[in-house]
Amino acid sequence: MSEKQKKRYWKSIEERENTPQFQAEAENEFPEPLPLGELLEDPSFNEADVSRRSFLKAAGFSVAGALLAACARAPVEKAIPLLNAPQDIVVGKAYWYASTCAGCSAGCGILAKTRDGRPIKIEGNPQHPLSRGGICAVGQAMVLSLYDSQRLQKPLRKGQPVNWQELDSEVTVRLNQLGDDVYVLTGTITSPSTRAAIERFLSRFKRSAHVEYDPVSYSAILDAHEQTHGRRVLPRYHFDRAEVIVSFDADFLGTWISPVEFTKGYIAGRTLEGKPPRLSYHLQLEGRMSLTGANADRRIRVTPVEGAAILTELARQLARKAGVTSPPLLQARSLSGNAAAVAAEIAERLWRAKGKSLLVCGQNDVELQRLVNLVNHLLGNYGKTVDLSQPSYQWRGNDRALVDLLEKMQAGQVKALFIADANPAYNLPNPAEFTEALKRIPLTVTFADHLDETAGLSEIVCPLNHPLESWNDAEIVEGLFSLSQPTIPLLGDTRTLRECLSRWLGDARPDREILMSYWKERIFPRQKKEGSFQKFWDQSVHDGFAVVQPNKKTIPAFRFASVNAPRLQPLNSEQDFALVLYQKTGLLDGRHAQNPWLQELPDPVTKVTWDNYLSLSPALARKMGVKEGEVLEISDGEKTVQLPVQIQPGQHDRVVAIAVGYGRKGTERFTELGPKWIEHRESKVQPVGKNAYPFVRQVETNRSYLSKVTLSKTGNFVPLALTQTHHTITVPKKLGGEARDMVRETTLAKYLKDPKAGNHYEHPVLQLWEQDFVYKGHHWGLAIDLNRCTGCSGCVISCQAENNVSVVGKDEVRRRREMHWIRIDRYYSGEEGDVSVMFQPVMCQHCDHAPCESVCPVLATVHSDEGINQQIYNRCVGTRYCANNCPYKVRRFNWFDYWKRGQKENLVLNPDITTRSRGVMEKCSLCVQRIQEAKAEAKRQGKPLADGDIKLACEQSCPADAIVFGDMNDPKSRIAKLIEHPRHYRMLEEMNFRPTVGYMTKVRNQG
Amino acid sequence: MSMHFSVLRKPIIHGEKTLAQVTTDVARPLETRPTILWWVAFLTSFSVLVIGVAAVTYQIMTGIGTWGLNKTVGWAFDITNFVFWVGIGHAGTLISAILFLFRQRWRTSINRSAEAMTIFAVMCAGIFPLIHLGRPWLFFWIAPYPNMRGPLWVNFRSPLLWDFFAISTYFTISLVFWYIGLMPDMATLRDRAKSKIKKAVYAFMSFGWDGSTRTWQRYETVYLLLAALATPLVLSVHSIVSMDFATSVIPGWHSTIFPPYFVAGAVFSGFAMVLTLMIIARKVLNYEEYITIDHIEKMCKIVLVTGGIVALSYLIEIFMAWYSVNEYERFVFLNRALGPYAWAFWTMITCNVLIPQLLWFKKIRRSLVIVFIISIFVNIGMWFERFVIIVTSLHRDFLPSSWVMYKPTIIEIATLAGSFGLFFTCFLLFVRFIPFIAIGEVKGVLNYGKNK
Repeated sequence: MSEKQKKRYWKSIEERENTPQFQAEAENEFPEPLPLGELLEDPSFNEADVSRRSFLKAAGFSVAGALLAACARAPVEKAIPLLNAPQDIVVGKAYWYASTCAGCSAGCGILAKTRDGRPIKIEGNPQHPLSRGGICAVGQAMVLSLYDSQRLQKPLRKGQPVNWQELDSEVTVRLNQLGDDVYVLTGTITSPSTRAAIERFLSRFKRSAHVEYDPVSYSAILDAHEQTHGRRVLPRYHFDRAEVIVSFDADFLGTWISPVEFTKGYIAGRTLEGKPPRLSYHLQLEGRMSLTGANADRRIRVTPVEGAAILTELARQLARKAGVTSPPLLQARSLSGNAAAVAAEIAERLWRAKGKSLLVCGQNDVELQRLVNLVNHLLGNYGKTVDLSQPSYQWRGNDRALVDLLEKMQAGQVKALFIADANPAYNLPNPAEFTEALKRIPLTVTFADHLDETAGLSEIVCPLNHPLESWNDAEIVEGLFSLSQPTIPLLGDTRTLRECLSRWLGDARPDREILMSYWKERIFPRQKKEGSFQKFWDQSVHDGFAVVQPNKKTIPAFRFASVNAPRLQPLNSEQDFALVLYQKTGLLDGRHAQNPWLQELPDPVTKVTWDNYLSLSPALARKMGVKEGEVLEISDGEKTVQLPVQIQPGQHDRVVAIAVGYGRKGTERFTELGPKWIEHRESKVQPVGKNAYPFVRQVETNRSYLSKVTLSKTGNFVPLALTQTHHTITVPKKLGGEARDMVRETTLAKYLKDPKAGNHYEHPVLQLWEQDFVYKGHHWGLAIDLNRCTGCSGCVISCQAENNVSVVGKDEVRRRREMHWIRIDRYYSGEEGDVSVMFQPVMCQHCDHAPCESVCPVLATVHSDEGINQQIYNRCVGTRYCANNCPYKVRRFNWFDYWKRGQKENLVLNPDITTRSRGVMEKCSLCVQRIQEAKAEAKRQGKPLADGDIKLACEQSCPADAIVFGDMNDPKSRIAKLIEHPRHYRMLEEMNFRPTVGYMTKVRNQG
Repeated sequence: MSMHFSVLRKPIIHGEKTLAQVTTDVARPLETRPTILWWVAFLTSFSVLVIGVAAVTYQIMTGIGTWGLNKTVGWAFDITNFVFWVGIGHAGTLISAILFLFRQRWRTSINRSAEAMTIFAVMCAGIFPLIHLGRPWLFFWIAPYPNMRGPLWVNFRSPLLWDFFAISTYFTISLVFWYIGLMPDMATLRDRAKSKIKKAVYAFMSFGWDGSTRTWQRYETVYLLLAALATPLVLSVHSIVSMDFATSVIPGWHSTIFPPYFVAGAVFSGFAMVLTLMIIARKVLNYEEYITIDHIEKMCKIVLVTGGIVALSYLIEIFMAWYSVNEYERFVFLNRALGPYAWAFWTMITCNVLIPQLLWFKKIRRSLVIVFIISIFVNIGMWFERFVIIVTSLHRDFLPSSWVMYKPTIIEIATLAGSFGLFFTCFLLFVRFIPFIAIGEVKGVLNYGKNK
């Protein structure tokens, strides 16, 4: 085809014809002219007189409007690829750092889990010699306080933020001007390097001192040892070595000195698995119902004075037995019938267990503590259960020194006062006196993490690092040094006390170097294991602690002459009640009042959250005609406080108790916590609870936490936020009165005869189908030993941190809507006076025949082939049928949107767990994320999962090792052995729900 | 032509009505302007409905937390109201289907309104399973339909799913049954209508009814078939609703007697509600010759019988609790009678067991005022029955640590009130726009008991 014929395509006839009209239109494809002319010609348009003024108005309005609109917070979404990945950090992988807990000064070893550079969970360090993997609720909750949005971020001078350079130069200049009379007032400082820094700092000045005090003081124990043994130290108590433990008002499992360490020891002395089984005898003398009292084999209700009398009598009887005839003791009055009999019985018990017994006393009364020392001395307990040669440095407060300092302050003899880790304006008995005296000091510097009561009064406030942000060390007991390392870069412009003081001395080294040089000079030489300091340091940082050669000192002979019979002041009038001030497990002395996890933690015994209250006995409540929640006015003659009543079975009828640590400045913000809706009942903004420290009395040199008070009605009513409202396992008498068998217990005598004692509930369980599903792989199970569980509630917070369990606020708890996935049920039995207490941790029982699964219409809760009852949040539509049909009532519903976006506190969230939106059911998942992680890791390493590879959050930190998780299909696993144990049972076994969570009977050392 | 009455059979319709009179009588309220009384009633009901709508809107926007529920009591007012309204909904279909099959010709005077009541009650009931969801906007997940969310399917073991089927089937059949019965009357109204619009609407709704023998014949076949279809539903719906409880493990719920017990209770409460409505309606609408005192008496007898079954069920439950030697079961019944919600239990016993015993007396059965009061008591009692079953079983079950109390919030109370608002609003509109009595059917019984 030679001829190329050009084909012509046309779109329309007009185009083909190429009419002139088409040509015109093709040139002007969009022919419609803008109707501007018409508009301009429109007379009305021209008449619209837009003056310059109105034009400017309109323009201004537009600009302002646009600006306002631009002010709205638009979501900023940035996705920046990690171009320069940090070394050794894999995003999404958890890293664990050994450190030391700073929740109180007991110094338990912790492991901080960090994800993507932020710590999200704290667990016990299993290698730590003291806490051995245990950690309490407070320690668990420390991770939340790191992200507290109210923490101080910058130094303040007269309330105004300043920068450190200005502050440093000002403090240095003013210190030079002031010259001498410089004092440092702190809480107990366990860090030797900080102590050295303080010492160094103070050595510049004449007339200077470092005064340590503890709001809840142990000073009397130290003072007593100074008088009886010549050394002002806190002995180290070995509960594991004691066969007979007598505790007088010492809540050593809850809050006293070092509860985790003591729980570990206590439980070691109460393990039934060993051969022969060990079960120490624990007798508690107390007026209020403490956690320790709740665990005692025998509990005798006494007023503090009665207790002191029994103690005196006990000492007298033991002295007689030991053949010691020391004059002051024999002068003691003889007691009336019952008390004398009790004393005789205790004396007999203790005497039989000479050298294997322990008497502890929780009262800050030096006379009583000297008696305690005498008793322990007579029993030969020193060197065995009470160790003075390697004493504890966990609490060093000195009440006398504090009194001296206050006197100096009042006399105007203090030129500069540095307050660190202490809040005297809140927790001293007379804060007004302190505040007044503080005004006379030319320079006051406070080191604090919050703008608390004291920081608000001082001229200069230095913000402190959070313990998880800092390097630190701690000498907990002689020869044992703990280390803390930062787990996150500083979130604010903060420093440690050590760093500040060093800087003001002109030492500008970073904090870590100060610490390291201290260790190099003072601690490294005390050990022989490592040759080079770097290796020693690295190992210590890795382990979180270092054990070195203790500085052993000889203990002087016991000075009998120092002991005298205490003067007793019994309650005279019928109207007088003995007031006992105590610490709660969560808030302790008030230092954790800013932590909502701890505020919402139900008290292990009373099950009350978000408040302190006046505990009194049921008999007293009846006599006074008061109901729970009724507000009473408590008065000691000078000070009064109004608190709601909590009726506490087992409390002495003449004893009332109030927890300290409440009424803290800054806790007003929790009024805002929780959902707001028309029936929300918290309208008045006020701190959580009331401050009870004003009732503390200065008795000679020591502060006493006992007082004499009168009570009067106010007619007001404040409902308590309780998580448990029925307190016995027995149903009310008129409704049958039978005791249910969810908790089982027996006595040691019966147990030794029949290990299944107390666990004989053989209900016939009929199966419709034999073994309807075979678990071929893993079959996860959990066993909880009620004999070990002390009810301390550490697991509750551990679970909350691990599983992003939301805080719901006081009003929601009052509506019984708390979210905790694990709860500790507490049941009383016996007469309301002499009750015995059972604790039972209850989480989802992961029934193999789960009643919740069959009723969910949308299959939002299903069973895994490893026996886990799974909840699928995004499938849940919220019928709540599953929760209704749950016989254990462990399911928790999101009644509102409890989570708030954009909070700094949300940094604590575990990224492995979704937060749950409203309308969705949630519950314990057996920490399925941990199971999956361990399985993946085992697979990666190519070896089978070993028993103990997976530790649930509740299990890991349990100070009593009461919870055991494992594969029930693995015959060698601990759980498989426990299931075979005669003490093992399951709740509601007869119903054939087939729960995989089981319990072990509690055995009391009785009868 | 004089009338002779049978000795054995009394006429069902009084007043020696002619066919034309019946049409005029029944159509009168539809063709006159509403009375002030109607307006007052309507505006009151509508206001209450608006309050209910506001409460539900607030609840859906804020969260189920605006109800008084808690970790232990997951259902209370919501499901109580649901079961209560489903129960009310039972009388209509029973009257129109079962009584039809049993040739109870007196039913013709009341079946239309009772069925309307059924439909409105089921509408009220249907709201509660919907709004009680934590995430009501995802309610359709309960329906098994092919979806793109992976292999997600519904749980056919869950009684809530059965509920979904049972209620939707019941509602559909009831509606169709009611509508089929309505068609000849729609045609009558069409023929009487004066305004064009009215005529068009009624014409449309009558499906082109022509009144021919063939039409009537077809109509009656369909009606009979639907009656047969609806009959098992009367029994199945409440049986299935009762399985929400019966298949669970909670003491006080886990009970095999529930299906018959619930059905009897539903008929009991349904007839009580029919009585309440009819006693007012016959007076206000001048239907005393259609809904005669004999009708009232017959319904009273049904109330008495079903009330007896309910009372027997209560006794059997209590007996079984004792006989089972199951401590949890025993406790639940002791707790109902003597525990913190004893007042609710005794309200229930008084209203459902004691007060209906008055109906043994003929004088009382024929006293409109007393029957009206009794019917109100039965309504209250049956609401409390469901409250007692749900709340007292849940609030104290196995583990004493989880025992709690439940108290409704104002939102829940407003929602309950709102459901009554919806019910009465619908019923009042029904009275104005649809013949209250089945004209066609009543005409068929005019000669009942007469000898010509």
